[in-house]
Amino acid sequence: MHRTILLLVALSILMVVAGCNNQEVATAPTSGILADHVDLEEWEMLTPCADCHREETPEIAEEWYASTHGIANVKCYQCHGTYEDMELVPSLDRCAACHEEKIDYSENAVVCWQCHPSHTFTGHK
Amino acid sequence: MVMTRRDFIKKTAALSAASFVGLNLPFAKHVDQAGATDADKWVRGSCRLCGLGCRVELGLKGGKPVAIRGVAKSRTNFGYLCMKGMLFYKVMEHPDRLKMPLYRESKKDAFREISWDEALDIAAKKFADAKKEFGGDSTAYYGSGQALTEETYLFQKVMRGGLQTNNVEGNPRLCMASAVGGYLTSFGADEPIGGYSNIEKSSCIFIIGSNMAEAHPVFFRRVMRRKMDNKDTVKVINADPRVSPTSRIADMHMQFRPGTDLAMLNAMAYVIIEEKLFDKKFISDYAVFKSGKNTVDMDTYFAELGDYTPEKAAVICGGNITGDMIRKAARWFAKSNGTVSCWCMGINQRKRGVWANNLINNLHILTGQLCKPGADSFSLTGQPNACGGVREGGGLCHILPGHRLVKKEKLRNQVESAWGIPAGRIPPKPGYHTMAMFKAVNEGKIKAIWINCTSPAQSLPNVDLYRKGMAREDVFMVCTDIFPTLTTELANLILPTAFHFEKTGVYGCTERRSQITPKCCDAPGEAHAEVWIVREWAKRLARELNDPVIEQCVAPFDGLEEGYDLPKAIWDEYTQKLTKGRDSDLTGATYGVLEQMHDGVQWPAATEEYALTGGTVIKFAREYDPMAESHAKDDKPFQFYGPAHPDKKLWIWSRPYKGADEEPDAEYPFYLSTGRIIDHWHTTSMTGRIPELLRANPYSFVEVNPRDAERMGIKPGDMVELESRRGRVEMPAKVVEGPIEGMVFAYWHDMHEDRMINKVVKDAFDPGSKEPEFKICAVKVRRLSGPKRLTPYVV
Amino acid sequence: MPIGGFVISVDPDIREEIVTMLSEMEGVEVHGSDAKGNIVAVIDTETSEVMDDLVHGLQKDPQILSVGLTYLNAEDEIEKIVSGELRPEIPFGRKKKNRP
Repeated sequence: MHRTILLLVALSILMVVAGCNNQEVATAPTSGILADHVDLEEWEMLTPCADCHREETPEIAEEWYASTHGIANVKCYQCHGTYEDMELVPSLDRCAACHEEKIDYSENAVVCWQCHPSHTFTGHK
Repeated sequence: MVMTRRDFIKKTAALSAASFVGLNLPFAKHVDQAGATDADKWVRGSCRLCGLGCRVELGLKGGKPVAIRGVAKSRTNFGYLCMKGMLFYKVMEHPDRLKMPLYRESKKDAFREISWDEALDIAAKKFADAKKEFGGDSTAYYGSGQALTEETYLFQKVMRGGLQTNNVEGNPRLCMASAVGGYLTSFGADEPIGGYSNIEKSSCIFIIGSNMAEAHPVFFRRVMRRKMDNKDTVKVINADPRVSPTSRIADMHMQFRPGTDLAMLNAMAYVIIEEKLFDKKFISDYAVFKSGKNTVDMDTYFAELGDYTPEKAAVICGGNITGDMIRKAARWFAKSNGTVSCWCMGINQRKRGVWANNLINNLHILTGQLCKPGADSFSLTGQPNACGGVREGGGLCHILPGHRLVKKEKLRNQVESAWGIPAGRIPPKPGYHTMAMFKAVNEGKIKAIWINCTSPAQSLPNVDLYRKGMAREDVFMVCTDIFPTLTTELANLILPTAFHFEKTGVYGCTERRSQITPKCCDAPGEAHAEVWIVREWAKRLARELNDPVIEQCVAPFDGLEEGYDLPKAIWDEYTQKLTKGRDSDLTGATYGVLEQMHDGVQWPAATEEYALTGGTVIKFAREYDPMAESHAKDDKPFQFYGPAHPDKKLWIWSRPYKGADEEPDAEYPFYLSTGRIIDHWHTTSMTGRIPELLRANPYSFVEVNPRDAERMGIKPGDMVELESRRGRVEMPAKVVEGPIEGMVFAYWHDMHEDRMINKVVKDAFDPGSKEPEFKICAVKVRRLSGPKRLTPYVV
Repeated sequence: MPIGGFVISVDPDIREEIVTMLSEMEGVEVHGSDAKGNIVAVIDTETSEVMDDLVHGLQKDPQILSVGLTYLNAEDEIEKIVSGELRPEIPFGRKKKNRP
């Protein structure tokens, strides 16, 4: 790997000089979290997440319900998305819709749930 | 999100590495978003999915909306958004958007696309023919608390000044007319004295007839924070026949039998007087007692309250209400350092909605819980511009712009003079109120009706009755909208309009605050802003009727570009000519000022300099309200200068208890109440087209009390029939400790014929405010079957 | 000032130790790791040469199994080179010869 980086930079120069653009932005990996979810038919997808998850993941459901998000009716899909765009670990932009300032503040540090317990988000870990 | 280019590259680098090993990094989407919005712009405006006026920034990429975020510096929402607010921009690019005018001669025919020229000619000819043959009152406009102020103002100007009819109404009649009546009769002036910021200073919050956790989530967040950050010092009371998500933060839930709130509120007043919890000085300085047409003294008022001792009221109220509970609530209310009452449809949509409003206002006047930080009698509004456009802009049959009554000649003349039209041009008789208007449609008295930005074919009570009228062949109906609705299905002519952020204009939210939303992207197809549509229609109307006065109504706006210049000119005319000196003075709230504000301006705001401070936080208090200073008649700190009370006093009303128009009986033994859910807005023509929101609540369901459910053998998910004297629906049951025993509660958003609850609801209305009693009627409840597979339905 | 994304593979048993070590190195940010011993890191250095040396150093560490480059962005360095502001020491054996 020695000198690889310099070589790559050199190649990039050639490409830029040749008028090419190597601005390739890697995209996020698809999370595929629904692969682990039980199969649902279309009509079953019209069930609020919490209806099943109160049974399936009772601790999480309870943590959420008792949290300020739970009291304020910020439901599962607001952070985790729905079937087309579901994320096990929500992306920060979903938090940013409301908590943009806090995210700016922690820009160089970490994600919200590194300090605030997920699903509760009250106090610090 | 401020992300530097280097931060962005770093995150992209990390993501690339993570993708090689299948690691899911938390900021994946965020980087994509930052990347997506890197080179693009954010435009500040308002959310349009409730009356709060949350400020948002719409993110654009290549002129297309791609993201939304809250404005942290806005005093309405401090950056927070609810789910509807986070997602509403997604409807803008929806394939169902109406893009071309559609027309059919007969309502039996299919629609065909036509040109704007043809469409406007047809609309002008039909309205002109109706006026020529049957007079101006055979035409009508039915608008919306979601229309921009500029739109409502211009529509009513053409109807009144042009077609010479006061048949100008809108859906706010269905939601806050009783609050208007309450404020005018209690305080002498419409709209709340204070605003949202009182919550952060309050120590008692009295919520009645409002499920704010779902209907106003971002406001609820403030109430929740106030309670949770001050658990021991702030008391929250929720009074509602139904235990709702709002009850979760309450210290006390007062669950009374539907329709008995008047008795309960009178009993609280009784305790306040009996236990001497009233503010004697405040009352003697600022208030008088009224009983019927008479001014009475406190003793007479108290004697009239004799039927409502807490113990007697508890018997009327039923549920969990006891005399002690009422006493406790009254003490918390009266003794706190600051009490804010919040109510919404539960109080307004009642046969005696105005009285219920009066009785809440009474408690504040008696205790002096008014005009100071942390104390207010605060009516929440459902729609983003019910206050700004309809209440202030002249959008109801009895009012002209600037809080002027139609029936006062002097005020009519002021408007005529501002418009440069002959005195006497505006008819002196108020037009049809909403229920009378649709009754007149049924009777064929209205020949041409324009429905803008609302869907009465779903939202009226006892809706089947009124759909018959709208379906009549001899009623020409124009709809302006962005999507097909159940109402456009009954129209002859559908005109596609620009959506929010596709046109410029002002919304006035619940707390007297006007906020601008600018145009930042183009409407799809050939959709136009309503202000352009009205102007072009009025010009043709003038030709058809050969009436230069109609031309005069839109002449000041001729030729102006529709995206910005036209609404600006309309706003200038309205604010500079018609609000100047009125209690809703918006002279200082010019486009230039509004564009500078993160949020907006609370009226009265007579100068630009003052408007730039944000305007008047507390009306009538000299410390906060310059108009209280300029209208001062003595040296007292509060000056109640409202236009409706010649004595400039607050009025404490003696109002007897009256129940609902239709109470349960042997044949229809259940109370039915209806309401909203957090994921949906009104008739779902918008939220039903956003997959996340539709999925969260794909169809209406009916909440049944567990004890009632057990008695009737109803299990969760079972299909249940609700039948009233007017109609029937069937919907899945939710067995929940929500509604009081003997009451069922249904969501009203569903468009499906089988589940449209307004077919069942009664169209009785308040004799004062003319607002219908959506909240109470009597039904039979019957289990039909076990759970059934249902299909969501959007027109 | 190039920025590179790397996957650094180590024995899963010593993953946390290496994460700590990497986190303490100047210019290195650890963004995540998994149970298999893959560590996602971003390296941000003043010049390509510094990055090259740093990566070379890591590769020589006996505890590190491999260092894989997945993404490289050196746009500002390239801009400077193209504009003539920076003359890189490019690894084609002409280093000394071309140096003024």
